[in-house]
Amino acid sequence: MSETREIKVKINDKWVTGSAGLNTTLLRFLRDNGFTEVKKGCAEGECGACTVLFDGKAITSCLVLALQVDGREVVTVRRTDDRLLEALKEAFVSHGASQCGFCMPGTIMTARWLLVENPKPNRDEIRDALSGNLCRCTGYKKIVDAIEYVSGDL
Amino acid sequence: MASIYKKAGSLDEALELKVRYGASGVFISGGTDLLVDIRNDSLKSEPGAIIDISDLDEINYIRQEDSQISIGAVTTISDIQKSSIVRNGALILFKACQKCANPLIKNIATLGGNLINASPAADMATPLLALGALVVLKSVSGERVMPLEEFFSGVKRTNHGNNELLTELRFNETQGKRCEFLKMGQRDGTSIAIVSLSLLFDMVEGVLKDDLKLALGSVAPIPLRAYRTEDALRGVEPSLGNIKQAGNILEDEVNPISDVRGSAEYRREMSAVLLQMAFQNLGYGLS
Repeated sequence: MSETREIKVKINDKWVTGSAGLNTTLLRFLRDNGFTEVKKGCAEGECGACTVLFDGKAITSCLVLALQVDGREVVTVRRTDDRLLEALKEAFVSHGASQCGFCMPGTIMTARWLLVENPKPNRDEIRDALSGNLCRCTGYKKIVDAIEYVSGDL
Repeated sequence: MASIYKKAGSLDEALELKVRYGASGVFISGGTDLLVDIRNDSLKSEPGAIIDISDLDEINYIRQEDSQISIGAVTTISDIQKSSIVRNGALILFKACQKCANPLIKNIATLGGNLINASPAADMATPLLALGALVVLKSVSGERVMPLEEFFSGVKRTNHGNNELLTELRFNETQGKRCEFLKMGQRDGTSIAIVSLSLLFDMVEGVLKDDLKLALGSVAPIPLRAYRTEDALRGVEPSLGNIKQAGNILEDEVNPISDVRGSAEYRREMSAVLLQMAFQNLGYGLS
């Protein structure tokens, strides 16, 4: 029998308690606990749809065991009291950076991480940061435009 | 699936847990390989315990003492890429970090994990082979140090004991040497190499010095040091003719397979092409 235990994860500044087993990924834990804005794409680290911030770093939540996140902090795109995150969401809308929208929750979290690491990235650095987030609609130009726009205000 | 998850609070505890669970105890740090195996149900045997070493600061560091650089096994690829010690003293490793996976993976994937997984395509393997790196293995009974070349024993297989944990990679700085890391994949981000190549050398009086090192990924069961090709390049001028001649030897020296990413024949030819490109990117063998 596989072990299942209660874990506590601080998600968007609130502690969430839930059960996790040895094959529960952080992605699964988030979605099972109502954070369905975190999308499941490939589930093997290729597409970036499930990107969240884990202790401040953008990571693919499909490749992390939920048990490893016990007691730690996760931020998803749903958080609303983060000014940089809100600025990015607005810029993605105003620049038409989203079409079907499936990749957006992940792409925006990568952008949020990038602009903390490197507040003034050039377009190549933005594209490099986004190399783990696949978007099959936009061709990336408008995504890069939106991130560049937000970095201009930093 | 495994029955127990244990987070090790110290390196000693991790080593003791490994003794307790033996071969069925599996270490996890970044998890970027293990989680894919769990998802695909492709582990050779079901682990009895997952021992989490990701929080062990004791094996998370990048240090330099005199000319020796050492990197703890659970240091992430992102941290290595950002390190000024690595950038100044081991440029080839920095270049490989740039081409490895994507930032989301690099933020959790670790150096030790990339090596212990022992994929023939491991991006961290060839720069470290070129650097002549040593691996440090620890267990409750002590420490062993071996050259990285002796560490790999086959596809996804390494020469470490059941109770041993890979804790550190160490190598001498190579400040001032010329180096190139090239990776041919199906796209720039997140791809597994079809062929990768690390080249490190110095020049003296117009010829290549004897300490030239060449290593290739995805062209043999293990990340490959190309000794015969190195021999052909030592002491000669890096002219286009000499590089092409060495490329012919390299095509013979590599031992690739055909798979979903490329045929053996293609990999053989591309090995020589990458060798030429590596020299040319550094301004040698242009005509």
